[in-house]
Amino acid sequence: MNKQLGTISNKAIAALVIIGIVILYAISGYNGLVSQNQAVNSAWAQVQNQYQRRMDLIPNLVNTVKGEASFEKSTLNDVINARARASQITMSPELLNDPGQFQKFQQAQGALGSSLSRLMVVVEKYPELKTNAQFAQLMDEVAGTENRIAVARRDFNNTVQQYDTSIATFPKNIFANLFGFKHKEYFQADEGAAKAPAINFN
Amino acid sequence: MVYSAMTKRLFCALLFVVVNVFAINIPNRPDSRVIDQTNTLSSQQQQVLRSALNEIYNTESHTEIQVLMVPSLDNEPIEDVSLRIARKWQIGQKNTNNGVIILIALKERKYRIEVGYGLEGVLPDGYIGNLERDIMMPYFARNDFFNGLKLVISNLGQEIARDYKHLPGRPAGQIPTKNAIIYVLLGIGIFVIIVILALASGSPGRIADILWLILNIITLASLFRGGGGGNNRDDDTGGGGDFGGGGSQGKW
Repeated sequence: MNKQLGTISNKAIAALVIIGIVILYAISGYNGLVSQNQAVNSAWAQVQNQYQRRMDLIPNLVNTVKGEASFEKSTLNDVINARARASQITMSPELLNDPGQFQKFQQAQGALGSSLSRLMVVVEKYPELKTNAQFAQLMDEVAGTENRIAVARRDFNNTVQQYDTSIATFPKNIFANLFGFKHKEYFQADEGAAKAPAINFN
Repeated sequence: MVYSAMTKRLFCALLFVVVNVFAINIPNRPDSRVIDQTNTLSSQQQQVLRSALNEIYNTESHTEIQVLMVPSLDNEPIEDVSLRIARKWQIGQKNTNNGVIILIALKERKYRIEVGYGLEGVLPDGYIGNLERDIMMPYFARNDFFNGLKLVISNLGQEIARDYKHLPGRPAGQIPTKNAIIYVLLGIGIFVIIVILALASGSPGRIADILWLILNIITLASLFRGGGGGNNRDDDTGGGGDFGGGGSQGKW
């Protein structure tokens, strides 16, 4: 094999090979992070969809409940106000990189969730509402949406935790730093918060 | 800051393990569309339900409906149990996510119909809730599970046939394949460059060596390949249908 040396020496070839390995490794590392990042974004989009679904349901719910003249105004107003506050925070993916804003978002949605669950408890006291088939369906949609939110959040948390672990562990943390992949926020358990009494945010 | 993030992660991992330890053990996906662990339905009745479900499966929509009767939920919320079963068994097709699972827990007297992603538009929660209140609740209260299920299944079949136009895929898309394509293109690019360099070196005898090296590099690189994100579900014994918590539940 050592017949003659070409214009490129063995050393140069070896160097090229090593550089090739490093480049390929960097590319695969980078791509792994990109696809994990993508997974987080699509899980977040799902969370967003479900929160939006809840937002869209509320006007309908409020109108139906308003038809019941004697209905407790304070419970209804809590829901309306909580929805207004929650709608002030845009659910962009950038939210995931901002711990403070993310916490605000979670609090606002949590408050909306608990005001809704209180409404659903209060509704039990109104037999006319309960026997109204349309209202019963609306309640199914609310319950279904709450469940979808829980599922989307759980899925989202799982994906983010994988991503966060990836960007923090060697050797991927090198590429993560190099290409600017940042730690992302995820939801803290608030199982109790959904049943918690009124939270005043004034 | 870093420390607290680490502890948080550790805590969550621990929590995950704990939750998993206490969760009901879900068997592998069964071959039958009707599973009765409570011995409530006779084998004849099961056969009737099974053929009704097969009939629905053989229609244009290929909707997969699974019936499961369990003795107890072991203190787990029914929506958690049904979602875990639905996702483990992957009822429904991969692209259309057109699965439905009807779960009945005798001890708790609870039922839930879990609707796959793709059928959420055809079978909205309100419709499912009505079906449950109108049929399951009264029939089950009389312990007539067979006729209750039969009626629910035929209603579901009719509703799907009536409303079925196209089944959308999962709303927020899967991992795009674009990354893989870029990866392949880059690989080919590097390959070509190295071959050109080898040719330019004026020693064609060496090309074979270099090609062999490149192959090694690629194998190595694929070993190091980043673990992609995406679906990290238990296993894929089923048809591939996914669920997102749609459906409705109740008590009799």
